[in-house]
Amino acid sequence: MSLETDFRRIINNGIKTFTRNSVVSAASILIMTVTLFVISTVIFLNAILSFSLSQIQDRVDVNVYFYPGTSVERIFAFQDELALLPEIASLEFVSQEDVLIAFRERHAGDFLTLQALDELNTNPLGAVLNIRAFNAGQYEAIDAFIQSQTNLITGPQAIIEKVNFRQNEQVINRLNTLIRTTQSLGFFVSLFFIIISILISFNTIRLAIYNSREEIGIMRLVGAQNRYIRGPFVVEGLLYGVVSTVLTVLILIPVTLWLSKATTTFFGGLDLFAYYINNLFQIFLILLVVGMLLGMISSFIAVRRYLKV
Amino acid sequence: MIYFDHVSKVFEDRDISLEDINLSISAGEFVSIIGPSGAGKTTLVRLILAEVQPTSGSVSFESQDLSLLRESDIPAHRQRIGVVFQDFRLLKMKTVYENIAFAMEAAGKTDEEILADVPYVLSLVNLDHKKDRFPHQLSGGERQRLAIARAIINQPDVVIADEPTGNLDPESAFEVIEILKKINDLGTTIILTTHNPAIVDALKKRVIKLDQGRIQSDEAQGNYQSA
Repeated sequence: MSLETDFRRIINNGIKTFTRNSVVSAASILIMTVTLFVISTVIFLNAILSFSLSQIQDRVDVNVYFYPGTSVERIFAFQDELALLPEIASLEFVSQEDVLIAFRERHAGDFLTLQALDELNTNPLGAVLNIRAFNAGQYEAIDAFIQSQTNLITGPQAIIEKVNFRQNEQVINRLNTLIRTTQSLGFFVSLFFIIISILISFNTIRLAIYNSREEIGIMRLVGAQNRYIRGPFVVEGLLYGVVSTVLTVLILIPVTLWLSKATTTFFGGLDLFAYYINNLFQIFLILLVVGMLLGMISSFIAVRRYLKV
Repeated sequence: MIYFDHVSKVFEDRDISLEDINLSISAGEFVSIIGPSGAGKTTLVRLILAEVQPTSGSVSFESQDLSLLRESDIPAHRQRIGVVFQDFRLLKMKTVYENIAFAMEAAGKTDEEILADVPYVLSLVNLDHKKDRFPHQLSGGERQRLAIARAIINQPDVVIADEPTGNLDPESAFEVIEILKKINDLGTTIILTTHNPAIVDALKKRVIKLDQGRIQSDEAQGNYQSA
């Protein structure tokens, strides 16, 4: 018999058992859908987590305050030097005037302060350079560079009044640890849930096949080869995976739509539904591969027990 | 064709099931194996199917010592033997037609052979009009006829019928035996285990009586009483 005939018969038999054994199939699909749902939740949680973390990271910066009256040329020269550092993601220069405007805006209701400011004839505030690194761990190096420019910090030529890295340092370090812990914690929690749900799926399929143990014994007595007995069950497992994936992907549409309405502001602007739709193909592919492998491997292992007649 | 040479079988959870069995069955014979429950009839059958291995002694099928069969050779061995059980052992998720087709698929038959042979065998056991039914939609006698059809579809050298009439009414039982006789007339060796004296007496063929795992008598033309 040709391999092609063999293959065709195995697939046909698998599809037949899948449709005829509808109650068992439905139960297996239901459980596997829950598993895939858990996995997609993990995908979403990861997206939310990294989005929120990048949002927080974006808010961290180091500010260099210059003495009032420092010439813009000298600041720009310093800025050009900084720009050469590989850690620098962006540099934003805020002129003395803009700092004053921002200050006035911030204290719009505080008449006392504004009055005091008005009584001064000069602008007491210096220009500021806002420095942003690619990630929070790089501020240390940037600060070290600034501190090494001693002639700019002390002596008659000094232009830098203050660098707020030291004040921010603790926050930055804490944030760094927080990011790392959250990521590894998230990984382990995800792994835990994924393993639990995979075990539940595996057991459901095992029960489904336990149900067929008599049939497997009969097939063996009729003289069927092991691969010919096992094949249709593996096809069935594969079909569980495919149907569960389609179900999960469909269920996720209303779920993410609802969630994104409720949580966009909470997650710092991540639109879950938009994220889902934009990544639909990848998510579908991940779930499909996981679902098919889960179904096929579970069936393969579960049948093995009954093939030893 | 089938040889038992000083075969004993001890199951861990039971007393001795078979003890020092010496037996030879020739091609074309119709052998009835009788004896009370627990006499070892089914164990004898399972040994021939290589479902279990003897504790001592050897069972051979033609020149092949069955204890030397590799795991991968067992399916081919079983394809040479058709088996009919008391509890039918049909594939309940498959139709009448598919139950028989499955045995042919397992034996590697082509689609053309399946298309030609299945209807023929179904008409032989008078089930051609019920080919799309599932086993649970058949009567006991019909199920056993289906089991026989499946057992003979691959033209085996031997058909083993293990208490095939145990769950049937007398009329269906005789129908089943008639079919077995017909198959035997066509040259297939039949090994029948049974409790039913009437059947054994009517057959007038070789009768082997087992009791407590030993052969008590082996008569060429036995009946239930004399055996």
